[in-house]
Amino acid sequence: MSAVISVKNLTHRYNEGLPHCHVAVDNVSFDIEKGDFIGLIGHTGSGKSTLVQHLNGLMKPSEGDVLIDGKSIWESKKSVRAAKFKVGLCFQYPEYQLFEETVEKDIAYGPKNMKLKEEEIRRRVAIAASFVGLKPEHLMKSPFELSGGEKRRAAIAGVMAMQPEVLILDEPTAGLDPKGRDTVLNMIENFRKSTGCTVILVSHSMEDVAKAASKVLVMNKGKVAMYDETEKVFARAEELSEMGLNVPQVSKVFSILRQKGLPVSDGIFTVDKAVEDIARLMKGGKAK
Amino acid sequence: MIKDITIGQYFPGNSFLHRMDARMKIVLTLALIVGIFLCRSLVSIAVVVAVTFALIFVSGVPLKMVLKSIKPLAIIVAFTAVLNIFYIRGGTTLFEWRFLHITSKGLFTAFFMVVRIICLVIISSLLTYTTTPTVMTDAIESLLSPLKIFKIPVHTLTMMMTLALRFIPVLVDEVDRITNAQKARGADFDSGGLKEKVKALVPIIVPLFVSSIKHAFELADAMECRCYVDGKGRTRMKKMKLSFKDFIALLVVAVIFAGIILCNIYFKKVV
Repeated sequence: MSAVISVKNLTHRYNEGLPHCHVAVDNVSFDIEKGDFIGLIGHTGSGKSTLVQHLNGLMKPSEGDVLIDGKSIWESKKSVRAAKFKVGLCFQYPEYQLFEETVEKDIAYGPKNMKLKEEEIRRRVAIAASFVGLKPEHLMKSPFELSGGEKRRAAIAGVMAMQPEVLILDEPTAGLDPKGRDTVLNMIENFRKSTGCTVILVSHSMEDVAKAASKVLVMNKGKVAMYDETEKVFARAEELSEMGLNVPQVSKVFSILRQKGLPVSDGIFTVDKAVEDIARLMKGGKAK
Repeated sequence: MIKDITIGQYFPGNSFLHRMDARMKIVLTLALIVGIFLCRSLVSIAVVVAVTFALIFVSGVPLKMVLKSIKPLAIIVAFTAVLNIFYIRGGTTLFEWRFLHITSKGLFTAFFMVVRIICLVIISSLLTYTTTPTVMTDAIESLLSPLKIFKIPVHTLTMMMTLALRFIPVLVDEVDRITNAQKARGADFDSGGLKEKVKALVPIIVPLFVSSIKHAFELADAMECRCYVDGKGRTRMKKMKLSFKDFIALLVVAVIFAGIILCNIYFKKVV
């Protein structure tokens, strides 16, 4: 498979040349394969947000380069702009970016900036709205009349409507109730399945990442600490907790069960798998 | 761009100026500014320049930071200088071409204006560099308190000032965040004519208003939860007190003031 985004020796320093210069991302290199669902985790201040803003050309690296489909973002002015449309970035608390008179117009803002035709814009808005479960009557409302969860979904639709090849979401479930979290995660998964786009999910919630992501990238102190399949990353629970990160709660329960001598399986990090495994044990099965 | 705003910027330190009573600092700053505009001779303006630099030295604020506060004024300063050079007539004529005249008095006035504006900005920014916004508003409240006789709600006014200052960094942050979010959706703030550029700001201004109003409501709730009632009978944890050094500063400024006036009398006036 080919890499959609490849990051080469990326370093970012804030306040370059000033006494309070701070290295946020430190000589980081990795590739993101097409179609992957990557969970990006890390402690607060580990450089996640800074890293993510380099992937669509919002921030310029102090050193190193970011390539999209093999070409540098910073090749020309045009390519910087193109990067914004190829890599859709949805910030934390995106509901604060809503500004238009109607939800429909707001979702259309991105596609409009892409200079698409009127019908194409309308088509994309309709598709994006259906992905996030907004009904036609919602579209005619002012975005400020929506509930908190609906606002969040409208804002995410605004990024989805650009139909990016890579969709990056920074903490899309922050501040939502459990049901809202599931809704948002499901709609991201649906979007990924039907468009085949690559998704990067920045999250603090190990449960969210375990449920959704196929690969996990762990940032620690500006460096990539781990980048591997989800199971392999969560198997390294001790290293994670040294970085101030947790493994999903089920994994913790299972490691305690194992210590107590029960023959439970390794690599359990979602509730669904845990249920399966316990069911298997109760039927008298043996550990895999 | 928005991060260049230096209003209300405080430079932590423990200099003589930092330790002075804020009320005295405000009064003396005003006095010095009046002094600056009283200058008529070259010697008195030299005194003002010397005093300004002495103050920078005493404050311990790096020269680079002080100069940063003048930078946004470069255009205004240049504009005033040019206007004065061509409009003021008097003294000997140095240059004449059709409607353009440059006279010695015009040149002097322009020079005085430039020096005055720069000194004024430096001295008043030293005031904000050495005084925290909260102390500053406390001082203003205390200075304006005689107006209470005329039923002017001094406390409410200064509370509004405190809050406005407090929210500058919050709003700067917010502008940054919203701008990035809209840029990620392909907003283009750089190309196009004036009309396009103004239109491009709508996606920033609307969310900014919405969140400011939200902040205001939340703040009002938080204040009410702590039983804030329009400042009636409020006491302070830190009482402001004039001390010995404040009177020394007063004396120094009085001497400078007298010096400027004496220089005006005994040396040749040029403007």
